[in-house]
Amino acid sequence: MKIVFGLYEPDPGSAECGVYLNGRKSKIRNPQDAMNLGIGMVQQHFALVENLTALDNIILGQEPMKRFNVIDRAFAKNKLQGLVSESLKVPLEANVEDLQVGVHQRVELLKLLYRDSEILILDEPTAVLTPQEIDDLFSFLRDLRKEGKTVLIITHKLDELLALCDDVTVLRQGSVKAQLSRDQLTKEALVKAMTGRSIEKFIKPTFQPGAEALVIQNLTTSAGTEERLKEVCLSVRQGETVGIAGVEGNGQSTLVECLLGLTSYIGHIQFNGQPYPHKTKEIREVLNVGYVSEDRQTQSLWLSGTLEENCAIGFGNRLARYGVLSKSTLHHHAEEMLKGFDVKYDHLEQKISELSGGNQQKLVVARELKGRDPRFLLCCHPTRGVDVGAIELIHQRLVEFQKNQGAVLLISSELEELLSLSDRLLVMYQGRIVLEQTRENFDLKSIGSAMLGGQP
Amino acid sequence: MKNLIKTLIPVVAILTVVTFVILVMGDNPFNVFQSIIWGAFGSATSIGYTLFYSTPLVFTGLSVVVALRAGLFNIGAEGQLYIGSLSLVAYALMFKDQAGAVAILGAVVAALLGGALWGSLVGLLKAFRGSHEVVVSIMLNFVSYALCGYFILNQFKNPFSQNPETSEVEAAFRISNWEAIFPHAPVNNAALLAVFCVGLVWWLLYRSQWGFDVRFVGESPEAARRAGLPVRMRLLQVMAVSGALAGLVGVNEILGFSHKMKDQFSPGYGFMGIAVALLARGEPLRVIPAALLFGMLQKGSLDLEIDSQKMTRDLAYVIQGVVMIAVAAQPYLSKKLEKRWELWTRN
Repeated sequence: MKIVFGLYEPDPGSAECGVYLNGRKSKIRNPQDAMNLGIGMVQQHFALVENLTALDNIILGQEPMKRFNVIDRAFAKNKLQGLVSESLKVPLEANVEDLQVGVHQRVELLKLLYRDSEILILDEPTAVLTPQEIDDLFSFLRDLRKEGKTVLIITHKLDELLALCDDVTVLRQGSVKAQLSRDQLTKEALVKAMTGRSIEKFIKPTFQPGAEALVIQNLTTSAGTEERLKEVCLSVRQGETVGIAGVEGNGQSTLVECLLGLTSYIGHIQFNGQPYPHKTKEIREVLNVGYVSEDRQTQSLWLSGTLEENCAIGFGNRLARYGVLSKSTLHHHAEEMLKGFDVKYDHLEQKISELSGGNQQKLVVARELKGRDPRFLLCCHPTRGVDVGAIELIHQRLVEFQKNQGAVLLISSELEELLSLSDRLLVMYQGRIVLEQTRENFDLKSIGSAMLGGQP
Repeated sequence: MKNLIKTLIPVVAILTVVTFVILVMGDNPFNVFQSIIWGAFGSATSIGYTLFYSTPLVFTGLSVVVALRAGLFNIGAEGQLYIGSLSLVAYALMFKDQAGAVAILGAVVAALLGGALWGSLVGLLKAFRGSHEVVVSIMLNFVSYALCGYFILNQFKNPFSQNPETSEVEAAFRISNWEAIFPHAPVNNAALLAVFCVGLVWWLLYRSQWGFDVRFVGESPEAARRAGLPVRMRLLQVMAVSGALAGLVGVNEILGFSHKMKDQFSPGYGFMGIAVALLARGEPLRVIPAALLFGMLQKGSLDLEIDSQKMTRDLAYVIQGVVMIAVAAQPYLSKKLEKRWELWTRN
């Protein structure tokens, strides 16, 4: 997709390969070319200027001009009014930073419509949305389809494909594995094409949880931090998975930082009856807390390092002898650790950046679970941007960990994942826990509205 | 073949630009290049000089490399080498009576400690106060010039000299130069120390747990922090090591050559060290060829000044500048070239 949008240049191939538009081969060298051809793209990570208004963001780069180079905002507004249907209401005058994530997406979509794009590419558009917002988005996309626009959506969520798409192309490891049209489209066929085999529906067994492992009482952070926590109380028992749902940016990251010792806080945290340490080093090396981060590339991995080096992260003191890390120790350690985690690599001295996201994530999970053998796992978005096969494996390993009386605090934006893995689910909204439900009475509707700050 | 072209193209580009500059200055490029090469390698003596000029560049180059690997840009090698030299000369002048290996070893340790002190000031402010290392180290350079000036003129002044320099150190503090191989050239055992340091730094970075931490912190600071690494300690230690390496310049200059500390003796070794480190792309082993290249230019351009009517030694700086631009542009250019090459070989 980045090639279609002109962000990457394709490697030169034979004469007939390339991007074809309405039967004509087109040369797209940069995003400007793409936009001129009516192709627009919403990136997975939005490209908005936080401190400009929504309107300015939309017209940025194609400002209509009055005389003396004055921006004709009124004209832009008129044009937008014509485009905006009810489902796409955006407060044009508000600064983007004050708007919710779901609205950000609408601003991005308006950007494309404003540029008269005929082909809209959406990369993982639902990753940050709540169930209600997803419904809104889909009904809007259906409207667009009626108007004759082409919508190209990239997603790894099967339900979305089934709900929305006319044609589905499955890509795996850089090549097309299947092309399915509406009438062939079933969940089983999709899964088969994506993984090369069929996957049983995953049903988590239930375990008897043990004593309370992690207890957090009245956790509050100072006003300085962006996502402030307000009197958060929660507990995780041994052999229990507690999920935290919520739209991103409602305090989840701050909670993680508190538990890693990166942010100072008021309140009490206990672990197995002992006070929880404040220093990151103690938390990770003495208490041995496992941690899967929300952004593996910057927070978990040494991206320019080799596989061996990445496997050794956090084990420096254990592996080194008199301060020396020998090649063979690193090698054996990595080999041992990756066993049973199905990480595909050529050799262990390979750069980790050459691996796919799924394989990188499997390595992280292997390191934090098998390598570390913790009693408590802080697990953030464990399957974000990861293929179906890896999701299955990671979920299995998490359940195994729980079976061995491990405690898991699971933070995810993927509601489906939370529902299938957690024994209890908490919803976080603006730094508070606003809802708690146990597995027996999960209710999607009240969870969704709690995520948006409504009354459950 | 592809790799050969990749390395040759920058060289050709550099030569072309420099040729153009020489032509504009109204000299014969062929003569100029000849006189630089001849000046650097023409005789045993000139080779000795080239090695002598390269030695401090190995120290400062390594200094910058070590900091670079932790993600720090140490612009203060110049100041660190002055403070290292100052503490070396202070030790040698205050403990005159030492003899044998103790004398020299003590002086080397003094140089290491002086440089380390100056470097760790930067590290301290960076790690615990978040001050940017570039700003701090550049400002500390000026402090070090002033400090050295003060001590040389007031504490250790040579009473028999009109120049701003210290008294000479005792014979026990002099290290032997390589008269037998390179007659009349000041190259000395400090060159061996430099090679040893290259090996040591390589080993530290790639084989020790400390180096593992340092490289990890430098390349993925956020992941290192979350893994529970002592990030601040490592930054502090790296700057200390970086400063200590720069401090060793004094061993070559004072113990090996002039036997006294002259005010402002460095022609910018610390800054050239940055160029060396960048040319070496942060790899300790590549510091040696990079330092040799710059040392060669340094020595060759001195001879150029005598041989040519129109060129001055500043041509060396012009060439250094062009080399730096070529190094900076290389990743971008080689990507483009690779594509061209692929197209070309396909058709």
